[in-house]
Amino acid sequence: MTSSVDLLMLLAVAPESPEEKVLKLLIEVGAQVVDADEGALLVFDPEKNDLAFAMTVGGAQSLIGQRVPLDKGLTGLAAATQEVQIGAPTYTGVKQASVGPEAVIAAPMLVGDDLIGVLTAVSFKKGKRFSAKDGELYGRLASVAGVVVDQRRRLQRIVGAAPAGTPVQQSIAESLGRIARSGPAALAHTARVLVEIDGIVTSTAGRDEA
Amino acid sequence: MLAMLTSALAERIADLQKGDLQTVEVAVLDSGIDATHPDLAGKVSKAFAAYVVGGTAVVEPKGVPENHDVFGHGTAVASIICGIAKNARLIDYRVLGSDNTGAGEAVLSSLRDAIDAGHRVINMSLAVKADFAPRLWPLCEKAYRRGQVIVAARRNMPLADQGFPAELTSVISVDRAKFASAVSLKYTPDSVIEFVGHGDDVVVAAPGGQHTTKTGTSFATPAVSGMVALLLGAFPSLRPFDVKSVLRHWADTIEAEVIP
Repeated sequence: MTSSVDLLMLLAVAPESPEEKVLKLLIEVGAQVVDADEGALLVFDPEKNDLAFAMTVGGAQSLIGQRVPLDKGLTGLAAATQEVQIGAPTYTGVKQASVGPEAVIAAPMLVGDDLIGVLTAVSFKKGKRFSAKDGELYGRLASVAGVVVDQRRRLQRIVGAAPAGTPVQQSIAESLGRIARSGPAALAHTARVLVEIDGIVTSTAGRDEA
Repeated sequence: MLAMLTSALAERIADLQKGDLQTVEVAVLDSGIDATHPDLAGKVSKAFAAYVVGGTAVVEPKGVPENHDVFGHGTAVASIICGIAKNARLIDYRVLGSDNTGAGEAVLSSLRDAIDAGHRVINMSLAVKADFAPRLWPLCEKAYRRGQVIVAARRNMPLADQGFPAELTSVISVDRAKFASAVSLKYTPDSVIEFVGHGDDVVVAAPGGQHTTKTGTSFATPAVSGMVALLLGAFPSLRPFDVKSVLRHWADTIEAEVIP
């Protein structure tokens, strides 16, 4: 299982964060339940209008970061139609042996009408076909994955919108942080000084107001 | 008219397939069709592509026979229709492309074009966002009143809705199941989606002269469109209400074995 900076950039999900672990779990559970050899999460990049492999399970790590155009294959079709797609490789006449996948599911991760990405499952087992029920399960997992990402993005917007404090407050906070890191003796001394300052400020505040 | 409906009710699909049938134009609103595929040789008579330019959808004619399929979805759908109804002539409307932002507008414009052109059957193996339903509804009503039959797919995994236009009563809505035969049908009167067709592990044409296997409501829908094309080929004056009645009768009489 791997993930890339694409996750951080496009999904707003930091590596090793609780959200990343939930997404990994969803891919792992999905792949196990439908008996897939590989599972992956592709992120939608609205600027480039394509998909990028962000997480894989059971698959080659080299896929991470690879771009997939929206006008190709089942992943592109799932994104374009906003529908779960279940398919198999193409063949000419009598089916030939191939090293390619035998069956694929591609489920869009949606929040409302917004496309977040696509969740995929791939099987290389000879004659394997994913059922409509497998597709429904993947569709539901993709919905949950979409909600996880959406919640993270909302939180990030709230944190970003919160007031950061005045420059003086920021400066005090930084100084206190440095002192705290320098050891218990410095911290105790600072605490005593702060108590004295607090007493002076409190006793003079009434006079200023008067 | 009543005599014609009675005759249609008595017909079996297999008998219709052997009989003399009028050509029926079936508009396929999808990802485009590979008209060069051997399974579809001579079947696609016109092709269009819908684009969204500056918020407005434009429906533009394309060459025939050429490969206009960007995903392989429309070619699969087309091969199912032609596999059941030899009398079907397809009108290819490409509404799904790489730009996933304009699909709704492209679908609306293409549907309007297909209705105005008078195509008797319109296959929609897709669902647009519910926001488009208020604009879809009058178009589907217009088609119904003009005697045109729209066959539309239920969403594969409905979350908020079953899919539009499938939820509209003026269309024939289709869900999927696994049947022993492609010419299978079940009627589900208690459901928003009225009919169930064969849509699991369906062997279909794929662009470049190839074949593949597909599963989903998208592939049950053209099976029903194919049956409708057969029916209208034999009984051209049937109205959408009559067509639904015959389909219901067929669903009751066909030995449709659902495979779990």
